[in-house]
Amino acid sequence: MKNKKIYIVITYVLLGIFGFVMLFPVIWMFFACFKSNNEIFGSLALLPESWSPEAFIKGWATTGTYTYAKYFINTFALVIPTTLLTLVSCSLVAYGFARFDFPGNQFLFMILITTLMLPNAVIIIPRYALFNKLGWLDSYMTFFAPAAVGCYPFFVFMMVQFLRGLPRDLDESAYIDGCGPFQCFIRILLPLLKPALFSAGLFQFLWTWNDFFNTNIYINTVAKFPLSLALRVSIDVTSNIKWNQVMSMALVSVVPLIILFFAAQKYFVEGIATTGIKG
Amino acid sequence: MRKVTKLTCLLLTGMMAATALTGCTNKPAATSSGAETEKAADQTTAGKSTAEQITLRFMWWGGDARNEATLAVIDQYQKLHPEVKIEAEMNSDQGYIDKVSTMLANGTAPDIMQQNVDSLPDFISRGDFFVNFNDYPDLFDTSGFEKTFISQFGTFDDKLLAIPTGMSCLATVANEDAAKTCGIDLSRQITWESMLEDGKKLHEQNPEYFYMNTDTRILCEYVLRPYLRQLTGQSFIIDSEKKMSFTREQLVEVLQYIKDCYSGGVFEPAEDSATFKGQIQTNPMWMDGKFVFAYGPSSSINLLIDAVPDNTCTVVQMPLSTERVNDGFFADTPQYMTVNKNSKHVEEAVKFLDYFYNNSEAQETLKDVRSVPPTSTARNLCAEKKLLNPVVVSAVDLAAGLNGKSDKGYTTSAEVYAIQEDMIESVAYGQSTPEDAADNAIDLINDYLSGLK
Amino acid sequence: MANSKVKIKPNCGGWTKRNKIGFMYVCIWIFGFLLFQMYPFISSLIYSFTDYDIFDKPSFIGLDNYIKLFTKDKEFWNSLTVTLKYTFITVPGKVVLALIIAMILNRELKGINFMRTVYYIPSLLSGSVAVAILWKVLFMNDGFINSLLGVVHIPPVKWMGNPSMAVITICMLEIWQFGSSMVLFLSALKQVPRELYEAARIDGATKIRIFFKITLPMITSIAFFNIIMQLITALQNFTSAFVVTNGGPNKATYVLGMKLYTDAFKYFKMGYACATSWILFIIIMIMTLILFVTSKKWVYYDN
Repeated sequence: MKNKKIYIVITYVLLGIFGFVMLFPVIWMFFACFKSNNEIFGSLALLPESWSPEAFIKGWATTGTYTYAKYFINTFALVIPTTLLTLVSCSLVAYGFARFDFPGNQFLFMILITTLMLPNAVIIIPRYALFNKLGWLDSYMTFFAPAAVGCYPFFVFMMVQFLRGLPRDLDESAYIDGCGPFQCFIRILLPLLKPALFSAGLFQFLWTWNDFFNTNIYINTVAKFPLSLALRVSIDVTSNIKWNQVMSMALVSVVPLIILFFAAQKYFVEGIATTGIKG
Repeated sequence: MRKVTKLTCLLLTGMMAATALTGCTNKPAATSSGAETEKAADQTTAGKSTAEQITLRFMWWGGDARNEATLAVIDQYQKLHPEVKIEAEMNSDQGYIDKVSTMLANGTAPDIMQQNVDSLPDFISRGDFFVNFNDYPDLFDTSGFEKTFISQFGTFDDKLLAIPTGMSCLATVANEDAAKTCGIDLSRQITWESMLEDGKKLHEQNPEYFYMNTDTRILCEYVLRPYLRQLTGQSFIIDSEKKMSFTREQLVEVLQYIKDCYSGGVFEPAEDSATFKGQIQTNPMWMDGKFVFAYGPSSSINLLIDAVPDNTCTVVQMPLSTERVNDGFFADTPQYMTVNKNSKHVEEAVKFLDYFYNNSEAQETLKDVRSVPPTSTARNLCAEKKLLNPVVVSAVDLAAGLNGKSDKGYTTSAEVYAIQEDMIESVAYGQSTPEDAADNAIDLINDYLSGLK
Repeated sequence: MANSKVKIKPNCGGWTKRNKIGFMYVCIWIFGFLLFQMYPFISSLIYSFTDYDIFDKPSFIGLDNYIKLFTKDKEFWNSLTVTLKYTFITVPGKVVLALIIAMILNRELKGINFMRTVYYIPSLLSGSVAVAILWKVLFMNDGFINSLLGVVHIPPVKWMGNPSMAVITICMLEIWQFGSSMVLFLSALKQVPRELYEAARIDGATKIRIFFKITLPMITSIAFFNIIMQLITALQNFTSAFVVTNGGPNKATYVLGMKLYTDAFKYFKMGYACATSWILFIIIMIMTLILFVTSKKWVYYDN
């Protein structure tokens, strides 16, 4: 028995150390925001000599025309509609796939799975040209439109898997009660689909919030920059870079994600689990 | 059921936020896409449209001093013309060219744009993007500019498509204190040979010091191309003939020179300077006064000088080979100002630029944030009021006497520039020999030339 | 009358009224798929045979782009090598680490959930510019990591200035974010029926044998899915290379994603970039195919 206990203690200790090492960059980032520019480099000290919120204030205001308030608003304006549209379209499409055995269902579903592996790099250039023709470049339509038509196979897949786990009797009882398919969906299935919706929503929120490659290509004017682009600009300045300001804004931009994660941990995990297991 | 309420709450807040924010974002979208939508919005909502509100987007890059001065001029103009609102888009110089090229390609370019001297010829060759100022003689007064200057800088095929923002040149900034410590005589004219010799000696005797603060990109413009121009008397690529002006041997010579400079300690090792590429004034060694010289354009040498506040700095003449066929270096303009041909308010934009260049208050505010002013009126005014940084003026004066010709064009297009930078890097990192790097580069350049339409 | 509840062939119910409605829902996706995925996909192939540069109309140039890519473009081979190097360090590193940690965490210990959270947080920030910037600052020549090394008397490493180290630096950033893979494995491990473990223990099997004969086979389907998704993402990497080292030094981190971006949006050689992207696509397909084919040998599905 003692051996086992020692074993457990060692495990805890190792895990703890490793965990600390894992989180260390984020912890360091937090403290760096309060340091002066010189303290960040060349010194091993974790804690700042003096705690000054100056970096946050100056970093937020930036030397440009817009403050980070604008960039935050932009990010919300981009991420929230995209997420909502994704949820609506993907759940409907998943419903169609999971509950209706029209001819070609399996074939189309196979195509859906294949698109899971379609690399973004291959389609980005023609998409750019397409958006150019539609006049959507430099606007958030480049994100809203694909989201509105279910172009996120990962989420459709996730919801299909989840739906398959719900017994068909529920549908049948709804139909007996005289519901049409849509009502059946809204009244019966949707409430049960909540965990999957939650997970999908969280992931889409997260991915869109962090997106850099696509936003970099589609969004051009500074007034429309989301946080990821604004941060990129901040390390490009022509005069001396104030790293503590850059760090403070980087921290501020990830804080909402961390909060969201802690509040909704369970759904993150469940979401990954659902797609993973039944695939 | 907690789950239900939680989810409904989330969805509700999300939707409310979304509607609120889409309301919010409509305004910025309207203003930045030109005044047409704003005009319509104004007329329908406010209904108080006595004067049409015009919004111009003005985009430039620069450091703090330039940003402040430009914003001040915008302010002045807006006060004089309350019907005009100018949206300032300040940027850094990194990635600026990419941004402009993307915007030109997809039609989202601002009304007024500062342009990089290297990339502008390339843009002009790809399409009709810019307004010809000669079409608006009543709105834009060109009398303050010297005819030859404007014909060399800004005129393409007899069309004045861009206005030079100043008179500038490439400069060698010298840290006088570091020079003294290392025993460098600043009054001696630097030659390519002397740079290599003195630099090697300096680093041997004072290992913490280096001769020249530079990075692999700067070397393209400050060493690679001028060295060749002094050998051949021609631009790197001769635009009219679409061919290279140098031989393979000459290219190998200059690459060998650069390699020797790196291995001899004239330049800091490429690995170390890589982190400060494009921002050599932030190199801690420069800030510590451990470089004797640094390269920079005259329009931003103040950044270099401000980084070493405890030392005095001056400028010295660029390296001139004793056997040169041509001085290589030349007086230049630091940037251009252009007006987007597809702008909805071309005339307003042109009027603003006229104010920018010719109005005395604007000239006084802008003084030398874009190097020595391009108009004689501005120069006289600033000289009178002693507004020009003497170091900048002396740098431009040094260049004024040189007979080099500008090499902007195919030579400075994004692709060819990258080829130059790549060959320098492969030699600097010891990845290829000068011969291999030269052969590879010549291959690529020939490819590029054959692909020109 | 309600539709027949007895379905003899569940795979095809024909065009019943209800099925038509269901099909309509799927049409949403079909529309999106055709417009935003199929059309760009085919266009990309077509453009790759032209000299498209977005300013003018494209003109057909046949296989020129591909020939140039394979014979003349040394940068392409460099980018390919860099991308493969990056992928083959990152994907195994991430997956193996995730599996190990998941195995350790898969016990009835207190605070496991907390640990799981801690390890997951870095991958929350996946693809984020904020984290790439943080990485850049930490690994600067006089940054924190080098100061740490100095404490144990190791001379400072040029994490981003030395071409050979630069790729490692970016790989580290990616491997640091193994959290999502770990969570996947944890869930998979939880699904392994306890009875199997009990039976093995009763039979006197050693821990190692248990791992290889029971644990590993049961989670292979997850591992498979995981590896494929990680592979596809890694081969297209852009953000970390772009922000941390900007493809340098001396193109040592100039991954294919970056080459594509530069060729297309900086030099406007869009036709050429499309050709590059198709080569990338074919590489991804080949690797996926290899994995699929070999999967029959080592992936174990539940039924």
